[in-house]
Amino acid sequence: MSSIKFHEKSLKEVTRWIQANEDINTETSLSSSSDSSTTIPVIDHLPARIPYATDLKRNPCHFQKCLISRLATTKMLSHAVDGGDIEVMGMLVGYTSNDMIVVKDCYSLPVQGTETRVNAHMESYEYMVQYLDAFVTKEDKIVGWYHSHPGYGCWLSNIDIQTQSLNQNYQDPYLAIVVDPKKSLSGNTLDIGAFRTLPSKDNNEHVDYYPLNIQLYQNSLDVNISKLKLKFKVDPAIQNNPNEPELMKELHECVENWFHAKKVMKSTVGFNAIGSTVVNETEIGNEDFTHERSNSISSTSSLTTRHTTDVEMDDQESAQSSLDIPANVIPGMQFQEAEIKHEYELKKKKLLLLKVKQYQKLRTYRQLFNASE
Amino acid sequence: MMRELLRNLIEDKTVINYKKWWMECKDAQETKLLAILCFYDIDDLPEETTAGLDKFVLDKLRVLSLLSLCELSTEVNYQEIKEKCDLKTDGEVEKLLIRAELFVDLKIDSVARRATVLEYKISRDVYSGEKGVPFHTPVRSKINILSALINWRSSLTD
Repeated sequence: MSSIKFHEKSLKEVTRWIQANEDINTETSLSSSSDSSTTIPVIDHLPARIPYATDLKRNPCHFQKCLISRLATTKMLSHAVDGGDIEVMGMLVGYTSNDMIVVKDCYSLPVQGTETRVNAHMESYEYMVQYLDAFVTKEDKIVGWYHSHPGYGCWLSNIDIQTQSLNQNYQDPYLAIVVDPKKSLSGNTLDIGAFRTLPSKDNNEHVDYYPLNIQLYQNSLDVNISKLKLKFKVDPAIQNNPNEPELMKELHECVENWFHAKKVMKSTVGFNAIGSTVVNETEIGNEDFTHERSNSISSTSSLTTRHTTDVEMDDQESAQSSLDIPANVIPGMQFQEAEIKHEYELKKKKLLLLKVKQYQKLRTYRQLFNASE
Repeated sequence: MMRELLRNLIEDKTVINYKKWWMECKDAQETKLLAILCFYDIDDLPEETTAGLDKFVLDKLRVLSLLSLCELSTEVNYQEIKEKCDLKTDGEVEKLLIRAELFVDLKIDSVARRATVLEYKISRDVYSGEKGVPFHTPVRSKINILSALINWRSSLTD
């Protein structure tokens, strides 16, 4: 499961969009202290929380306004841009205040979308709840969902209307936001729409929906962030060492060679020495899986404990004695195995050294930052 | 012509012009299929022909039929699209409209159940009598376009 990834490309595009939009003047009906350099109004005191009483029979068009934070719009747009031609989806977090829905934040959902559709399945709902428990304060709750329409504008399709209508019936207040990443980027203006459905009339199957008036806001911290010019640049080589992918690839190849040699050895052993150690197919499958896991862990965990990357391999060693050379293999094979093992250790050490260097440099930066505070 | 190439051309969502391959094609069956994709809509074809087409060809033909419909008017409603493209539900219509966004810029109104063409990005193939065609003379032919243009010029000068 992944939260929103601010990929380099999308972040660059979103930053460009924000910069372009900060220069455009827009009107605002809300009383706010606006900064001359920004157009998104600065609101440090948000409207009071007035919970929506679902038991009261209200005007179906009760909610007319939608206040969305700059953080939420940036995250939505970034997520949608990352999705490319594929629709993405996420949840909106906030609260209600009279006829206004305030969207303070949002988070992406791990869903598999297509170019025309996006569906949330069981694991997405689990993630939704887990995320709420872990990261959202008790005062805020889910106030809707967002999804992208890459290239075809902000509107609710029939399926979107059904989804929104269902959610409005069961967990109102609920808002649907649609963002078009392609039109946003090509037009240098955020193409976004907020909608709610209206109850169907006379058992008519076509449910209607209406757009809400969208108002963006930011707080003073957001303004400061956009003004921030880091004088202290982090060396990109630290975060993205050009040798690292190559080393990782070599290490991967090395492990693959090892498994290949082992398979060959197995067949040779089976042929030459009946009754010797036999590794069955499921074990090989498990090894592949373990190997993948060890690789994925290695990039993040190798810094903290010396053997985090090795755990999986070491486990294999203890469980299957895979790096111990069986007694009854042919001498050429024995030599090849030892060579692969040696090569593997060498690559691993190189990668580890690289990571340790990165870690040391980052620690230095952290200490410098802490010292300056 | 390689069957695989034809398959790729049909499955490629960005391709709607097949005339070049139709003109080069020597195989009778493939030529017929390419002629359909170049010049005809679903409702032009006899039922037995549409019944023999596979899902990918039908999907592509629906997009092409929708583009033909958009050439006639800048406003098309869901019902017209359903009839023209042999679709049953509004959901299918919207999916098709989204697919067609590559070729026409549309504003879709799901409440009024209509789509407005904002911009035409590309046109379908035009028949100029290069080779024989399997069905009636295509509507989108050089002769028809010329005569329409002459009529339009006359209407302006009269």
